Formats: sequence, structure tokens, C-alpha cells
Amino acid sequence: MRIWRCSRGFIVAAMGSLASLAGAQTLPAVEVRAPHWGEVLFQHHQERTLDTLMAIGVSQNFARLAPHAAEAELLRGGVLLAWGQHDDAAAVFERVLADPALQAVHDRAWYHLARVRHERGETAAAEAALARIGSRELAKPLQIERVLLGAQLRLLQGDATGSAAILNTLPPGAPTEATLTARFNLGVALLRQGDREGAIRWLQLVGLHGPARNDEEKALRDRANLALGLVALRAGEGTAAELALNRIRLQGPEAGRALLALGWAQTVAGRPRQALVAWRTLLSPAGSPAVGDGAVLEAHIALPHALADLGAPTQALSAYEQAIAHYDREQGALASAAKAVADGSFIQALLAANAAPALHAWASASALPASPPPYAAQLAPLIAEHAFQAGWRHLRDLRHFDGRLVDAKAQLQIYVTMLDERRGAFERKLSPTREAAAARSPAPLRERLAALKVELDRAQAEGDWAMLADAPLRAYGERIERSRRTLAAAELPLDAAARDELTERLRRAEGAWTFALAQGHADRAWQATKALRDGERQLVEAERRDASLAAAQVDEPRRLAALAARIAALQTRIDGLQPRLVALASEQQAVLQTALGAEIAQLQDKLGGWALQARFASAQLLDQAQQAQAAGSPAGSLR
Amino acid sequence: MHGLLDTSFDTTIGEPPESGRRRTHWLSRLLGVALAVAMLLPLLLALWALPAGAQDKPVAPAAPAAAAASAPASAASAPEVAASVASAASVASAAAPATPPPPPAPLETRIQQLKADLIQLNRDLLILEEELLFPAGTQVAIFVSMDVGRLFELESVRVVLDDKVVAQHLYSPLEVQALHRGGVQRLVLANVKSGEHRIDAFFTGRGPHERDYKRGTTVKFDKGSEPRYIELRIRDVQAKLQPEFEVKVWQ
Repeated sequence: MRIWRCSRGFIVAAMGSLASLAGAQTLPAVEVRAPHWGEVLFQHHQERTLDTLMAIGVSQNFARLAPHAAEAELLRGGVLLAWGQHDDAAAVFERVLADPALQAVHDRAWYHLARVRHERGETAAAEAALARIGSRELAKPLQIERVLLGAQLRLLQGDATGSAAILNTLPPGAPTEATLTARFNLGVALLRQGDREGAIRWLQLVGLHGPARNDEEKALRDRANLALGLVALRAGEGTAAELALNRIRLQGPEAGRALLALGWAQTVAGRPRQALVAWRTLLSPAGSPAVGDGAVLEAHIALPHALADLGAPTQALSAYEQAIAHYDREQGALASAAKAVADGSFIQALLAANAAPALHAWASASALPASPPPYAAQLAPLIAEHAFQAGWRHLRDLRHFDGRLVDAKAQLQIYVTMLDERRGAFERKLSPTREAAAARSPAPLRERLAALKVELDRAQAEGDWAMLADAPLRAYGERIERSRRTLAAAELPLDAAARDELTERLRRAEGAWTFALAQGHADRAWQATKALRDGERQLVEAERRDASLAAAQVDEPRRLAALAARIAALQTRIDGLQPRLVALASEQQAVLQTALGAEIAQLQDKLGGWALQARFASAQLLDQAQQAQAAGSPAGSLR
Repeated sequence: MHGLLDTSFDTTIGEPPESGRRRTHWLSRLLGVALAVAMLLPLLLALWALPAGAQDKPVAPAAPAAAAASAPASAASAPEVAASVASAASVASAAAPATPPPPPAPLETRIQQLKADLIQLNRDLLILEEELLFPAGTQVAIFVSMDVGRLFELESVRVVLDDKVVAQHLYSPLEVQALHRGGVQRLVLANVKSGEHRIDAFFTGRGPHERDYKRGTTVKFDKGSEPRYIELRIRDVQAKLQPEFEVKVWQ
């Protein structure tokens, strides 16, 4: 079953939440200039509060949100505010305001800071923060929220006229739900100040509002009409009350109270028989909003009263007896409710019925436990209260974190094992790696490369082209040298002419070789220089790897030790947080249970009073019948 | 009459008819007196317990007004109560010889503080996890984004990194909505070696005219010592009336 009957307190306080939600949904389209900012938005648009905060926090740590730094910080503050972390949110906005580099978002920060102060009950300070924006307009959705907040703050200062003046500045395109809420609040505030005419005017703006777009708007319209009906009823204007009350939906959350009030309005208007129709509708299983609904309980006693007024004592007595039996049953249900509340099972069921794995800030305990159902409806109004919802959210969050801490502890243990493995593997590989590194040291290579460079420079400077010869030329040169040696050898059996001819041929070959050397020396010099440059590059890379390997041998144990220390520190923090969490969760649960218990006690008192009235009225009817019977009147018989 | 609606409506339910009351039996009268005393007693006690100022206050004109006014009042009352409790405790402790421990902060404040600590812890855990499991030197993150999505209704995506399926995701309506509103989903966080790598992504959903639509896109990228961020973008191309799938490698 859904809780529809949220109290006015909740409506007023929820205004901020609605506005906040609206703000979240109507964020101006921004160009995503960092993928991780897009990730933050992805989480935020799914209303995953904790995931949004984590995405911002982690990416801020790695400096991945730089192009959106101001937006990210504002969003973080806004999410914290919506989540009820007012102190943290205020700190964020104050930091933003203190940073001149974030001047562009200062107006928005002032608005959010005003919201924080409003949530804390610091109305004057909230107004002062809003005033800092001055006449500058915020972006459209935020500007509307600013106007609504300003009107709300004026109301809280007791200045309904000022609030009305601010509300009148709302642009035509203002979101309907938020506007209707503000108008409703203003109407109610004027009513409290005794300005009946003004109140009716504002409430009629809500009550006579055109087609509602969603359930919330319909509910607000019903509430305004109920308020209008009650105002008219109080003034004894039965017909006017009837008119307003008839505008309330029979399927809506206010149906019960509307039907009850309609009965009284018809009685005031002099049509008590019609009142019976309204109350019987309320008491019929199809028309009853919920078992244990306050209006239904009261209708149980209103009906026989009206019957007695209409001169139907027999039916009246029967109805009184039914009412007494019903109240007794309700008392039984309330007793079991009190037991379920006291032993904590009701809170458990409420948490289970409103499970929110995403842990989003705006979720509320809107679903009552499916079982056991007999008493849940009686507690619905209290559960819908802002204070109860805030407490419930705290409890839900603490329970959620409890589970997370258990998981985190297990995860950290896995990381410890992982680190141990890495450390072992590192130590196993260290010795062979060192040996291999020593064998492949780049230092001798560096010396060789330097020597080659010197030789190349010398060859180029001295024109030693043979030095630059490629393999075929070098082989050719060697062949010439070998031939010269052979020719010079004394034992060669040659005459002088043959020797001269060979010498001449050798000279020509040497000339050709020298020519070939001179012909391509520029290319070969360039090739040699390029080869040396490549060698240099490869050597640098080898040296870098060698250095990083050497550094890793020193750094890796340090890095592993640092990670191990961080894991140990996190484990200690978890160990410290767990008992705090358990203690505060049980304290919060006790607070909720106490509130529920007090509500049940109050209901029991109320029921007891009604039952007593019903018994008294029954006794009177029987008494009258007895007296009539004694007097011999035929009307004396009741059975 | 209509007592449920508001206490300010000075009526009671079940009031017997005037004519009948005159002829009431003495037993009923006695019962009536006892009833009246029983009903008035809690009221008198409640009035006695109210602060002097509160007794002078007019009754709220209507139920909505009373409740509406209670919201800010209740918001402010918690610190007041806590303050009064704290002051009472300090008065009581003045007579005690030993220095008493300071009074605990209000529950709300303590819970807020605890939640702040828990947020910080979770953040630190995630940072550690990323540094430990996905160091910058090997980290590659694959993101998915889409614009208005009029021409393509995303249902699922499959990502293959170097011939190995690294992600297969079925989208919920809420996720699709978040993508339409500018969100970017980090679909994959993985480790790869330095060098060239290849990503194949396959998108399935509903294309123009509500037809089943499956498209793929491929990208090759170099992994260096810095983390690599690759965004798979789906955007409507109005000129072609077709969705387009493109890849952006963030520098």
C-alpha cells in the first residue's frame, strides 16, 4: 500500500526536496568536455546519490574533471544537500564562494547556500544568502526555485503579504507542481494569520487548477479543496463546503477525510440524510480508503449519531454496537502494532518494503509493509511526516553502509592476498632479472657507439672514404691489397714486362676503386650517420628500460609497501566505523520506534474515547427505550 | 461534530439529541459525569503541561494550517530540545565533584558526521581499487554516450577488446534516459599492454521505423604509458535519417 496522506509539514518541507529534484532534472544541457564528467551525470540522472558522490570524488582525486571543476563541486554540494548532509553541503558552497576562480558559479552557490540554511532552520541567514544574488537572474529552472524559496522564507518570517508579492513574480512557464505547492502553503499561512479571504483566493488557485499532469498535482488540488471545504464548514457555510469537497477525487489520498467532511457539510446544510450516504460510502469496503483510516474510524461513530438525529434509534443502536465492535478490533490491531513496533519488526518490514539499492537522496518510505497490514494505515500519517522520513532515510543509509563495510572488509582482505602474491612474484623474478640486466648492460654499447662516432667524424674530416666503404667496396679494396702483396712477393716467376703490366693493371683497378669510393662517399656517410643515430635511439631506449628496471627494483617494494599500508589504514578505519555505525543505527531505530509507539498510544487513547462515547450513546438509547417502554409507548421497542 | 477534521471545530461526535438528554436515567447521568471527567482530565493535564506562552496562542484555524506551520517549527525544535537537555544536564552536573563527559551531540549531527566519514572511506576505497587494479600505465576505459536518440532506441551493447568480449550490457529505461540527458556510461575499465589494440563495439536496438537495428563500429588505438579513454558515441544524423556510431579517443 502506498502512503498518500503526507502531512502538511511534509509538504512544506518537501518543497525544498521537490525543488532540488526539479533542479536535478532540469540541469541545463552542457557540453561534456571530460568523459568522467559525463559519467558523473550518468549516475546523477539515475538518482544514484552515493554513486554520484563517488564518481565526483574519485575523478577529482585523479584530476579528471578539470574542464568542469566548478560544476562538479556545485553538483557535489547539491547532492549532499539533498541527501541531508547539510554541514558538508554548506562547507562545499562556502569553499566555492571563497574561490575567486569560480566566480561564474557564485550566484548558484549563494542560492544553494540559502537552501542549506533554510533546511537548517536559519531563515534570516538564508534570506541574506539569497539577497547576495541581487537582481541578477539565474538560469530559468533555478530562477523559479529561487523565487519559490524566497516566498517560502518570507512565509517563515510571518510575512504572508511579502510571500504573495514574490510568488506573483513567477514567470508563466513555472513548473506547475512547485508553484501549486507554494500557493497552497501561502493559502494555509494566510489562514493561520486570520486572512480568510486572502487564503481562499490562493487556495482556489490550487483547488480550481485545470487538468493535473500527475498524481502529485492531483493530490495538491485535493488538499486545497479539502482546506477550502473545512474553511467553509467552519464558517457554517455547508453548501460552499459541499462544493469544494465534491471536487476531491474518491480515489485520492484525501477521499476519506473529504467524505467525512462532506457528511458534516450536508448536515450543516440541512440535509442529514445525504450525510448518511457519504458516511456509508466511507464505511463500505469499496469506499474505505484503508483499514484503520482515521476518517473511517470517525465515520463509525458519526453514522449512528446522524441516525439518532434522524429518529432511527434502532439503526442507531445497531450502528453504535458495530462501532464498538470495530473499535475493539482496532484496539487489538493497535496492540499488535505496538508489539511489532517495540520488537523492531515493523521497522524491518518498512525498510524491506522500501528497499533502495541505489541509495538515492530523494527516495522516501512511500510503501507500507505488505504484512502484517491491519495497523499500517493508522501509522501512515506519521510515517509521511518529514521528520520521520528523514529519520527513516538515515536508518536506511546506515543499514546500507553496514552492508558495504562488510563487503569492503572482505575486499580489502582479497587485496592483501593479492599484494602478498605480487610481492612474492616480484621477489622470485628479481634475481634472474638482475642477472639478465647485468649481462645486457648498455654501458659497453654506449662506449662502442661513442668510438664509432669519433671514427666517423675523423673519416669525414680527413676524407678517409675507405673508412665509409660498404661491404662490396671493402672486399674490392681487400682484393687489390692482396694482389699488391702477391705481386710484391719475390718468388713470383714473372719477367719484368709481365710484372709491369700487372702493376699497371693493379694501378688502374686501384684507381677505379678510389673513384668508386669518392663517387658514393656522401651517401655512405649519410647512411653511416643515420645508422649511428638509430643506434643512439635504441641505446637511449635500452638505457631507459634499464633505468626503469633499476628504479622498479627499488620502487616496486616501496609501492607495494605503501599500498599495504593504505589497506591496513582502511581496515583500521572500517574497524573504527563499524561500532559507531551499529550504535547510531540502533539509536536512530529507537527514535523511530518511540515516535511510532507514541503515535499508537495516541491512537489508542482516541479510539478509547470514541468507544466510550459510543457506549455512552448506546446506554442513552437503551435508557430512553426503557423509559418509553415503561410509559407504554410503542416506540419504546428497540429490538 | 466533525472532530477529525480539526480540533478547532468545536464540536463533538455522538452528542445525544437535546430532547433525549432531558429524560436521561440517573445511571446514564452518572456515567455521563464520569465520562466527562475522564475526557477532560487528559485535556486539563495537557493544558497544565503546556508552556505559558503556548496557552495563550489561538487554535489553528484548520488542520492543513496547523500541520503546515508545524513543519518549520518541528525543524527548529530538535536543536532546541537538545539544547534544553544539554543545559539541564550541565546544571545537574555542576554539583557533581568529577568533571562529567561533554554531552553528546544531537543524533542528527552525529549521523551526518558518520555519513561524511563513510563517504570519505568509500571514496578512498575506490581510489585504492583503481590504483591497485587499473594502474595508469595499463588502464583503458571505454565509455558509451548518445544524443537525443530519436533515430535509435538503444537496447544493448557488446564490446570486444582484442578479440575478447569485455562487456555486454542490457540497458534499463532509466539508463537510456540518463544517456539522453548527457550522461556518459563508463562501460569498461580494463588493463592492456602498451602497443596497438582494437575495439569492436556492436549496438542493438530499434532504428528508424521501429525496425530492429544492429550496427558495429571498430577503432584501433595505441596504448602508451598514460590511461586511454575511448568514447563510443551514438548520434542521430537527421540528414540521413539514420543513427551514426562514431568513436572518439580522448587525449
